[in-house]
Amino acid sequence: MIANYRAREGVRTGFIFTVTWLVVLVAVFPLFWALSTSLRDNQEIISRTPTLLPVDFTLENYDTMLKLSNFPQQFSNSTIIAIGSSLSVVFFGSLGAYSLTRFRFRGQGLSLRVVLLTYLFPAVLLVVPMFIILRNLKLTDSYAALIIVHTATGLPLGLWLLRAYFQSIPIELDQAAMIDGASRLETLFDVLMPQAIPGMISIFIFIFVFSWGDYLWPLILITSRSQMTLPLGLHTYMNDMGFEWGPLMAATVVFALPVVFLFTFIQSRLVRGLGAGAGAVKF
Amino acid sequence: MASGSVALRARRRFRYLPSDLETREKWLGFFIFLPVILLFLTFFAYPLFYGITLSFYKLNTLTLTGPFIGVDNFRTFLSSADVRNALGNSLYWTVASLTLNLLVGLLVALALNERFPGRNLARGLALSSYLIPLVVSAAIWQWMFNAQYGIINYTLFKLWGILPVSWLSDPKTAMPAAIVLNVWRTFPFVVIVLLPRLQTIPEELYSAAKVDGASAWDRFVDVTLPHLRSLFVVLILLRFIFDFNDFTTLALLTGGGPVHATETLPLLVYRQMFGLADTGAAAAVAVLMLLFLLILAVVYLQLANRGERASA
Amino acid sequence: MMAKLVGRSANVRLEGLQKVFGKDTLVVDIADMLIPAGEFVTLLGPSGCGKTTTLKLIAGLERPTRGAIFFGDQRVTDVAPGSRDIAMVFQNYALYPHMTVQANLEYGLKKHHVQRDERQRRITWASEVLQLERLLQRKPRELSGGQQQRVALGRAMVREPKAFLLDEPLSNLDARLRLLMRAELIRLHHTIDTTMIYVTHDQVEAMSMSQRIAVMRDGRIQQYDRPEAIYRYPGSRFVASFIGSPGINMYEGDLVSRDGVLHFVAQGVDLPLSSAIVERLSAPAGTKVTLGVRPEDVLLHVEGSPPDAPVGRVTVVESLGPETIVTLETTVGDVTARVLGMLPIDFDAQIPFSFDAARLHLFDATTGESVLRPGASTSSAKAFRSSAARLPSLVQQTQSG
Repeated sequence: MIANYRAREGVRTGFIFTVTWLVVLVAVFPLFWALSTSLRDNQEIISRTPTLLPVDFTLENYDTMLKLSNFPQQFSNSTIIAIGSSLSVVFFGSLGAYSLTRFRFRGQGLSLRVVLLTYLFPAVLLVVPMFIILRNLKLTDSYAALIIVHTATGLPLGLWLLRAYFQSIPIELDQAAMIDGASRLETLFDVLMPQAIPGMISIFIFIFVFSWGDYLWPLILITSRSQMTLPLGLHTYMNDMGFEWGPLMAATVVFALPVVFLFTFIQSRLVRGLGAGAGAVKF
Repeated sequence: MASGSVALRARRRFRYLPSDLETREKWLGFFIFLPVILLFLTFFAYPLFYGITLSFYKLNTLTLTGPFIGVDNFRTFLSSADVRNALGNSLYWTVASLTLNLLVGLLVALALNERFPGRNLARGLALSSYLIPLVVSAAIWQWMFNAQYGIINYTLFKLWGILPVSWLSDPKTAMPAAIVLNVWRTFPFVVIVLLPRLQTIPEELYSAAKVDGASAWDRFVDVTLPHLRSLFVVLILLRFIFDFNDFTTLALLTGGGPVHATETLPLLVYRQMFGLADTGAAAAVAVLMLLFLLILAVVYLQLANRGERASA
Repeated sequence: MMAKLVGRSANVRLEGLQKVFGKDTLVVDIADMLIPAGEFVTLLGPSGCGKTTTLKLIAGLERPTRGAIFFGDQRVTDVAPGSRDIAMVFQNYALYPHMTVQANLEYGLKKHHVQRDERQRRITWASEVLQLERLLQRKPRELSGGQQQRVALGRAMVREPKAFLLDEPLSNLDARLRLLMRAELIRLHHTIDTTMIYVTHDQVEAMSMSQRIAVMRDGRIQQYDRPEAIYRYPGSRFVASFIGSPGINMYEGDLVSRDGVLHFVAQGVDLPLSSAIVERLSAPAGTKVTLGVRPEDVLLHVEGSPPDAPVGRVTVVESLGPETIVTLETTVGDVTARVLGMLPIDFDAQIPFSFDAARLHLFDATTGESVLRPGASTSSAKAFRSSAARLPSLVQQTQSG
């Protein structure tokens, strides 16, 4: 009987093991396949009998990609905008979260709930008005436009998360700082924000990833090639004449790199729960 | 010597500040929040209302001028084949993605909840598909779905002798193919929500159930599921909203084709605006989407709450 | 060092101070209170009595609903906490976790625009006094509770404030550390001579460290006096039972006049009152009173007793080493006595006992107020250490306001 039980447990664990790694395989395969494709020459790509790994490794696709279609410029555009948006969300989110948790004024609860409601709305509804507004401000086709809309999109999430973090910081720290002579804003920057760094990093990464991969807003707001971001650039390339899969796959691999890099950063955080806020302060 | 002495005056830089410390604090709090409010009003509330008013006009996208036509835009919808098609596609897309996501997400969460060698690594990798930029994923899957050179057709043929399918050019297979991409990409969201909760279920509950003679299925239904119920409510709502509103995935993978087979409502909005150059109609479709979602959300939450109260 | 600090201290005055929480919960209600400059004053009371709120009002961390707070003759009610020139030590220290000890000590000084040399001098001084030199580069989470406590104290000291506010700073320490820190604080106060306002629920701390105790209950001050006076002449039942451990013995009874002599009469007890008591009495015969007797004022006659002494049966004996606590079951109720030394007493033994005639306490049974006027040796002059920097008496200070 006991042996039977152990055997069943073993089978169960083995089954779960297999299923999980199968899932991992499915999740990881596409990017692997892109990498593999990008490292082979066109001959192999269009062969009717492709192999898992390239027979002849080549970097010519990467070479082509760098020369074609403005890739480096777009990469830098995307980077600037992603970093700009993330920093803005962290900054304004901290201000807002500070105000919501350490002050009392009418409409606080309402503000928070209303701000979160924005995620209910189809982005497409906002597209036309935003385009018109930004055009009137002469801001279309610029970094500023994208940074603004990305910040506006990411701010509710930032507020939510940072508010949870700030709430877990004991108010005695604020009080000690006030008695030490710090103004309210000094208290925020000198005492609260250093305590909320894990939360701020999480938000930074979330917004970065969102901004990095966003396609809709650049599609609407950007028209000149020099201002394009990567998502838009990649898709435009796919619609160009003389489009080749090889360089495209090379581009996607490079495009995905920063995200993969950031991802290893937050890997453990993700699973430990987005309910967050805990463990921000040690006493 | 008094290098640290401080004048005990109430610090008043402006004569207009109230002298009462408590009131000053209240205003400070409000002012700190002001940037957030301004951002919100300018880049959300105002565009929202502006967008809604646009739906009452017939505007040309290029010139942005046109007559006021009241509810005409909405009236034409009732008979518009485009709208009916898009609505049907939207529901197909959303419901199918949602169902599959929940199933796959639940299974993977259950699996990742167990202890086995390499679990932490597996967790990281299994959930990575969510973070890869959508453009990248769409491009790669387009490549994989390619009728002639795609790896999927090749594998299907090699393993089971299935003839190549034109996944993205055949109106019948385009949507299912897109749904596969969507589920592949978004199931981690479900896992990330469910897994932490699964981890908090005490081992003793399962042990007690085992001792009581409960089978694995019983344990799942009676111990695991009750803990997840409230999360499912939230998940269904959120994923429905996200998938219903999603523009980018389909825009990148199929562009709405072939022959509008994968044109969901968001894509129709886009086509109205830039393809048919009718901004008013586009706005009208968007407003319709909004109404639909709001009604659905309200009804859904009512039902969910009643369900909670009933089972409590 | 001493000359620098003495004279900078402020006296703190609370006038008509009230704090209301929510709709109508009055948590603090102090009509008038003066904390003389340089004194160690404790706000003592059970949890919820308003002592911490009062401290926060003085600090400026809470705003009063009504009333005013003065530092010297400056009205500080609307001055921000950072500008009041005070320093505070919190119950759980509230050290800045992401800063080193050195940075923690420096922060307040930087915010008050103290020059670097001066900052360094003060930090060096405080580190020496509190033995923090080796800890300066550590972060708070690397320190033990006692060390964190000292850093919190140091952070307050370097500010050289007009007043120190301490909110139950010792309650998170273990018993042994608490004793050590009590001595430290007493020594500290003696060294730097600054006004210290201390909040605690531990009457031992209050008694040992303060020059003046304000016993609080439900937001009001029940009695505000020197520790000796509070102990010897408690103004109410509440104060009497709050101070002293083990607690005071209380018995309900009546004042009865018999043959021209006042007696306290209760169940099985007929106690004639001594003249020392009677001349302080302010209630007439016939009043319902509560008699209070401290355990140390209960005399156990183990060998030879006065005639007519009542007898009690021993139910509990606690040998604590330097003293023994004995509880007797008697006709008037349980009597707890405190005897010096280790007394060999058996359970169930019958022991005669009596009360020290001069050390009785009497309270009105309805109001709880004491019906005995305070006795001799309450002149406030004795409360102050003679020092030219301080005004000689409480009464005088109030008049000069």
